[in-house]
Amino acid sequence: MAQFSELIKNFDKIREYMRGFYIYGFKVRGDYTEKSARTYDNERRRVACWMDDAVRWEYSPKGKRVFLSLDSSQVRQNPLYAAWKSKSFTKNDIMLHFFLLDLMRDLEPHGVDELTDLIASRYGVLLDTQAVRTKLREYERLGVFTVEKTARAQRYRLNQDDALRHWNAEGLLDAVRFFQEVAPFGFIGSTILERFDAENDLFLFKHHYMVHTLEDGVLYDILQAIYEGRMIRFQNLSRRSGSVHTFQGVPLKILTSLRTGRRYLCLYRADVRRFTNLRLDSIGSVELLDAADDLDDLLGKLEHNLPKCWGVCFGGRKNREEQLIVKLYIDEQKEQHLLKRLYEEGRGAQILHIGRNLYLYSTVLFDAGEAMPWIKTFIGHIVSLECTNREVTQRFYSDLSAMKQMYLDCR
Amino acid sequence: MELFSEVYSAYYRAVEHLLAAACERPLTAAEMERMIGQYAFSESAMFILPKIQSGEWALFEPQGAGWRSKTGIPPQMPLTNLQRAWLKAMLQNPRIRLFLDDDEIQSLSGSFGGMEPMYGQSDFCSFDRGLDPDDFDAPSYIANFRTLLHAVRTRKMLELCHGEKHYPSCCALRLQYAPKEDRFYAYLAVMGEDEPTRIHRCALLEITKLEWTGRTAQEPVDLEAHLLAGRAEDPALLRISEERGGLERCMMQFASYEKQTEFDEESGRYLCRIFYDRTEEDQLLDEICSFGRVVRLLGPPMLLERLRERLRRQCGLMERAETFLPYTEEEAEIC
Repeated sequence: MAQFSELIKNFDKIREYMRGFYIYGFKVRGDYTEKSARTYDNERRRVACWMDDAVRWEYSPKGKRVFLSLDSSQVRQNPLYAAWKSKSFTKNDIMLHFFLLDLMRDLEPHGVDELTDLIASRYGVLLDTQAVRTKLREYERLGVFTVEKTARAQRYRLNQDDALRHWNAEGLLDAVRFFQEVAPFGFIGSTILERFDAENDLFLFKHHYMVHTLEDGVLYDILQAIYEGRMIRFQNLSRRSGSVHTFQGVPLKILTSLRTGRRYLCLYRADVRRFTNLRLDSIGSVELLDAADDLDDLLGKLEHNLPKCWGVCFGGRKNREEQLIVKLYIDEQKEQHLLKRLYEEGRGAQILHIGRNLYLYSTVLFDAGEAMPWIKTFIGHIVSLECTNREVTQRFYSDLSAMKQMYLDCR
Repeated sequence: MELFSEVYSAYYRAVEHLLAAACERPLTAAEMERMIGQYAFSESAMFILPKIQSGEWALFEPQGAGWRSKTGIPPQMPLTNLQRAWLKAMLQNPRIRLFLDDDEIQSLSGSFGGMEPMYGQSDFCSFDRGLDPDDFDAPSYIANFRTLLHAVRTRKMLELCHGEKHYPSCCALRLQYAPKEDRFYAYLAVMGEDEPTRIHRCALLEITKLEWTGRTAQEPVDLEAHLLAGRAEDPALLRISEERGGLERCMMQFASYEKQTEFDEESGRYLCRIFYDRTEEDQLLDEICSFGRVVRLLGPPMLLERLRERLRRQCGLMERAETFLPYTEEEAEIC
């Protein structure tokens, strides 16, 4: 039986378990059917090791359910970043890391043979020259060492980072304290803070979707493809049906909802000649393909279409535009905050003042149904709603009727 | 560039601290265990210590009752290319001006040489961000932001005017960022003679006066305790149906709250308890309403009554919809 380890080789292995513990939290051991029960036990223990303070468990009739209990508004640093700091390594990896940094502190260039000999003489560790050379090359790629090549040999030295001169500037470290929580790939910011033994003791974050860090591996590959203007192919798991489909297309943008916490890849699919948005948390490993054609043209078309998307739906092929008109009763004296919300969150729709305490909100969208969750946040103030898509109107009134029954009729 | 690399690992960090400390004097096993617990994970000592003691990781040597480093104090590792690329992307974010002046931004960007930023700002689009964010470029806003940051760090007291409110003496505790609105708020302890009398949260944009008082608070104010005390006594209890993918949508949307969810065998639905701050009750009700029939609020009674009140008002408005007079285009006024 393999010995348990807190460290992992492959980040994808833990992604779904962490998501299960954090997002859902109601699943018990038997609900994790993808892998064996022993795998579940190991992953559960691993997550408990990484995030000791946040892990809770309760017993339910179905069994013990383990979950992560976190209030993001009080978190200084995303505890899920721990997963990114758990990469496994060999004994040579860790010894070479500290030996080489120790030997290179003189900022002088050193050859591979010289370093191998110094490791043996100073630390009493005999290592293969090839192992030292491989590590030096790896750290050169990482940007930790620079290499000077001559006809006869390669000599490495510690990278004398110009940027380091600025690290006394308080402002820069404060910026990292802030962006490590709000910017993509925030865990990298957290490694910078750790490097300076600093922590975020200045900022709090409201409605902060910490789970996004689990998608960073996929995001990184997609952004690489966007930067290089290449097409991608990947597998997409539908969270509703559980079915898996392969998609291929041109990645154009990452669309983010700050209200629902979902992030999407906007992909142009040449096979159906359409823009498609797919959730990042449903995307498996990404394969980069050839360069994409007509990239500027596609981006132009996307920018043209985005203003008519409420969320991520570009509508059907026919009757693509739907008009939505909502009449609202808002007390002008006492409910200015609602008017403010209507303006700030209404995506630039037309808002007309049509009478005392009466407002008309109207907009044209590809899919007015996407706006319904937001419209329903004005329950208590909606006089009427009309949409050129009758299904949207019917669904809205049917929802209200169901809510009336739920809360007012059945007491 | 490798995203998932051992150079960022918690184990390396723990060993780095052990090596630094064991340069000064030998460390006992108990001391090492404590330090590993501080920098790595809860069971890490169980894995790291045997490797050190057995000599498998030949970074330490025994000395007396403890272990001494074979190396000197580890030098600070240069930034990796990944960290540089991330920083370069950070420098392109419009909010960076809150922290750095233009010449500092330019100089820093230059120091990363030909390194490409990890991503472009235009690669992302937050489609439901509020349309009225704070003005991050306004000199007075930037000045207030930096003053407050300095105040948080130093506990130096401030005199502050916020709207019509005037606080002759207060301590800035934390700045809070709200991404949906793209706004900053400040948590302030309003000070009495020596002790804080209450905690106040104010929008940075609404601060009209901010001046140093010349005094410094002696003791830190416990904001966490205040935030915990601000929580509603009972969590909101929701029953979630799987209709229209409701469960998944709901779990994701409420992920930012502390929550506990379980399957209710009796109803065949999911029960979710959401712990919320009393000041955010309206927002939580909005979120619950946004799910319509998919989510049913079961309690606590006060919150439930507020939701019922909204629905009564809603039903009343719809019943009276015909009585609201039609308007003419001349009467309509664009807001």
